[in-house]
Order: sequence, then C-alpha cells, then structure tokens
Amino acid sequence: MLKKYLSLLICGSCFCLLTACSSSSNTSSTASADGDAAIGLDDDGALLVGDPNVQNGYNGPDELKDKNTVYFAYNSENIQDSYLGIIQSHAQYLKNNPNARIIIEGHTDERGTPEYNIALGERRARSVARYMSNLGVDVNQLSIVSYGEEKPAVDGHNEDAWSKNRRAVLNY
Amino acid sequence: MFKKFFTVVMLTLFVGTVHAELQIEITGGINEGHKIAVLPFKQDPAVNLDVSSIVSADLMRSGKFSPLPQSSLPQVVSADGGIENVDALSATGAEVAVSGIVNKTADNKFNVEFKVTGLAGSNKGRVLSHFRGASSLSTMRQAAHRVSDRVYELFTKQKGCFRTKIAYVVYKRGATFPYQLMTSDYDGYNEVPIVKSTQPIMTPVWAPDGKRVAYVSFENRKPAIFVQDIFTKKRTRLSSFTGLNSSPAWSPDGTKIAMTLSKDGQPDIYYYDLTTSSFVRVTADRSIDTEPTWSEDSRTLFFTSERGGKAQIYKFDFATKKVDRVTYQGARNLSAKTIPGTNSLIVITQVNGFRVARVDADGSIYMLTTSSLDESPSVAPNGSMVIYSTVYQGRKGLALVSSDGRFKANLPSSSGEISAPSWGPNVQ
Repeated sequence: MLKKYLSLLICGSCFCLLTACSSSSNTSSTASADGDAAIGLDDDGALLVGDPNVQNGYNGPDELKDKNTVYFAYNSENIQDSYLGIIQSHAQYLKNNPNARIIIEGHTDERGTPEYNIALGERRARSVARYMSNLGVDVNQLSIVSYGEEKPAVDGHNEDAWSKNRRAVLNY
Repeated sequence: MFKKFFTVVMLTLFVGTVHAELQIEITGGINEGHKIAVLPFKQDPAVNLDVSSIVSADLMRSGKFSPLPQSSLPQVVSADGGIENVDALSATGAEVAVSGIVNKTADNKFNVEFKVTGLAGSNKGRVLSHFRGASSLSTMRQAAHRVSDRVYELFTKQKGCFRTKIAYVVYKRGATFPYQLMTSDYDGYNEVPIVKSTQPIMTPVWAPDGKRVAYVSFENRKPAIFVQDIFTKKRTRLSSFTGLNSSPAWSPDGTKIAMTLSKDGQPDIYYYDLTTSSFVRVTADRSIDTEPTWSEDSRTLFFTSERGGKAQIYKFDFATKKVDRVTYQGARNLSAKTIPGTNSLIVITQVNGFRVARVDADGSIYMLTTSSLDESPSVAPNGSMVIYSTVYQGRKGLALVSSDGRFKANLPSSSGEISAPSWGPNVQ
C-alpha cells in the first residue's frame, strides 16, 4: 500500500527518459530534474539512473585499439617517455579527422582517498590533453574526465594491480 | 518518549528489508570501558529479537562500555524487570545493571520498560534510571536502540547516536545497475536502496534534517552533484560544471553545501548557498584544494590542500577570510572530519599506508587503526565513533573505530564491495 503511494508520488516528477544527456560546459543547473539520466523506479523503490546500453569498451579507430592507455608512476602526472608514441598516434588521428572527439579518462590506484584521487586523475588527464594540444590538436576535439580510483582496470591490493590502475585511457 | 519516535520510525522503516547485510566482527580491545551487566530482558515470546544483545552491542561499539558476557551473569531479573539480587551482580565488578521487560499490551503493541540499577559505592541498589514506552514488532530494534541511548546519556551526559542511519555505496559486480547508494541503521540493519546507477556514485553526505542526501554521480559519463530526498526519491541536479564536481559537504546549519570544482583552472573549494541560490568561491590556489568539511558551528571550512607541497589539512575562517594550516605531522593528511563536541579532527594520515587518525587541538596525532588502506571516514553525530572504508580480508568494506581508539570492528558484507560511508544526523 505504501509502495503504491510512493510510486504515485514519483510518477509525477521523475520520468525523464534516459539519453546521453550532454550538459553544456558551464551548466550549473539548480532547478530541474531534466537532463539527468533517471529512468524510473526499481521494484524496491530505488531510483534507476544511467544508460545500460552504453558500451563501456573502446569506441575509437581499430588501429589504435591496443594503444590507448598511458600508465603513470605513483602520485605522478608526468608522462613517461615510453608513452609519448601512443599519445602522438592519437594526436595524429585527431588532426586527420577534425570531426573526431577524444575523451581522456584519468585514473589512479586505490591508495589515498577517493576525492583526492579524483583530483589526481584529473591532473593526469589534463597532462595528456595539454601534450596533445601542444602537438597541434584543436582543443575542441579534447575533453577530459576523471574517475579517480572508482574504475580500476585490475582488482587487487598490491603494486602489481596498482601499477595497472594508474593510467589515462584514450577513448572516443 | 517512545510514542514520538515510534511515529517517526514508522515512516523510515516502511520500505526497509529487515536483514543485516553488515555483520560485526570485532577486532580490537573491548575491555577498557565501564563494566556493565546487561541482563536478558523478560520478553513476550512474540518478540523475535533479543533486546539486551542489541543494547550490549551498541554500548560496546561506543568504546565507553564493556558489557560482561551474559553467560557469566547471575540470572536475577524479577517479573517487573528489576533486579532481585544486587549483591550477586555487584560481585561481578559491574558498575550498573541494565534490566527490563517487553510485554504485550494489545494487538501488536508492546511495552518496553527498563531500569538501570547501581551496583557500586553509594549507588549500590539504587534505581538510577527507569523508562517505559510503546513499540510495535516492526520498530522493536529502534526501541532497543532507544534503551542504549538512555544508558549512554546517563553515563556520559551526551546524546546517544544508536538510532542514527548511515549512507554508503555498494558495488554489485555483474548487475545492470551495479553502483548502488544505500541507507541503513548505523549497525547495518534495515538497508534501503536509494539510487542504482550504471556508473559510479561517490561521496554521499546527509542534510542536517536527515531527509536528503547529496552525492556525486557519473550517470552522464561526467561527474555531477545531485541532492535527493531519500523518501520521495525526488532529486535536483545541483552542480554540473566543466571539470570536477566533487566532494560535497553540507554545513551543520543547513544553509550551504561546500564542494570541489575545477571549472576555473584547478580544483578549488566553493560552496552553494541555499539561501541565496548562488555559488561562492572560497579558494583560488594553483594547487589541488579538495575535501571540504565544516566545523560544528558552520563558521570554518577545513579542507585538503597541496599548497605547501604534499597534501595537508588547512582551514578557512569565514570571519577573517584567512587560510591557516592545521596538520604538520605525517607525510600526508587527507579527508579531515570534525569530531563534534571537541576541537579534534579525524583524518586519514599517511604513515606506513593510509590510516584513520585523530588530530588534537595541539597538533598531536593519534593513530586509531593498524590497517593501511583506510579512506572515507565519517564521524557519529555525538563524536563517539568513526565509520570508514578499508580493505579487510581482501575485500573493500566498512569498519568502525571508537574515536578514543578503544573499540574496533569490521563490518564485512555479503552483498558487494562497500565504500563511502556517511554517518547521518541525530534527528530524534
């Protein structure tokens, strides 16, 4: 009985269909629920959000598929020489394809705290973006996002896992 | 007393499932608090939980009490819930005895009544506290927690926090919506799912009225801060600037939500003023500033900054507009949280890994844990306990430590990897 009452309350407000809603760069929406990715209520009353059909994998050109990750030393955002080639390949692709847009994801290992790691992840992504822009890539083709420690590539609580999680991922 | 919270609790429990996802495993010393004897309550057979064991567990976790094992206690409770043999109980060394009854007064209506009897010194044999109130079967856990609150308050003169809630994020590998924001009783019972997402959810924090949470969601493939009513599930997107929208923190006076934004070049501290509906910038330093947290009087913002090199805790004073450094010991200090009622902070300090520690007003640091992957501490509203995220037996989960370090327990869960705990306010 109470569950029905709850769904009636929700139906009136939260029926925004999922889309890959792109908020414009400087949006600071304080008013509406539109533009979020809510898709309705689960049976247990929880709000479901996000697009389950979005592929989490690689969306870019095939030839760069296995060369899209740059690894970092602990607590550092410096790009090591061995990874410059990878970044240059993507930069070249972007220059040849002015309609292509790259998303540079910054990630960290789990040590430290989640919020601090979000900031460190952003540093790593910005580091790669800056290098690309210095190579002549149009900034409008570059965007960054930081996931901090939230999306590890490898589970595990040792240096072997951590070294594989400190990375920037180049996706499209 | 009981009637008032009974009504409030009905609203919060109606969609909850009654099972404990979080089991307590005790890992630290429990023999240093007030020795007390919590005797099994005389309970109507329809009552399907053990009130006295909930009371013992609550008091033990605060770090301030050492309930004696029930098997070692003489069974001397009389029909009205009082004590029949004070000398026998006094011989156990306990300072007080807690005893009571739960008897049926009407259909699904029960009387929960308890007494605290002194066992030592001039209080020996004296009834120090006697309360009764009504409860239904479905609110019996809250009634038991209410007993704990009363006993806690009697000894410490502080409000208990055993009827508070926590929020946290569960990652259920393989689910379509694997990132799930939950609330539950502080001890893990009555878990209620609030949001389920395909993308990460971070840093839930409570509004001081206990009805809303703010959190970071990556549901649009980039981070935004939402504010959501935990009962109606209605929500508002508060902040989705370019760059970071991170680390929300609600001021205790309810008027401001602090956060980290990097839209102006690098991560800095801002707050959203709910009374004027505007964003205000607090720091403009070229290094990382993040993890804002409010003082009890809402007039100081503590935060993590790398402006001096490696991450340390700083504070911004709203009156003077000055920023001062707070921590000087340890390679790094992160995630400061104030301990209400004190001038101390809980931090995550880097000393042989990352551990929960307490920083006192004179700057001295006291390690509270021996683990090395601690993060996301959150302090109970009465300052007695800290809940945090750690890695235990190879899995990410929550743990509790009392802020004096005396009591430690892990709360492993069978339902997934748990992180980002946030302790809710006292709204009783």
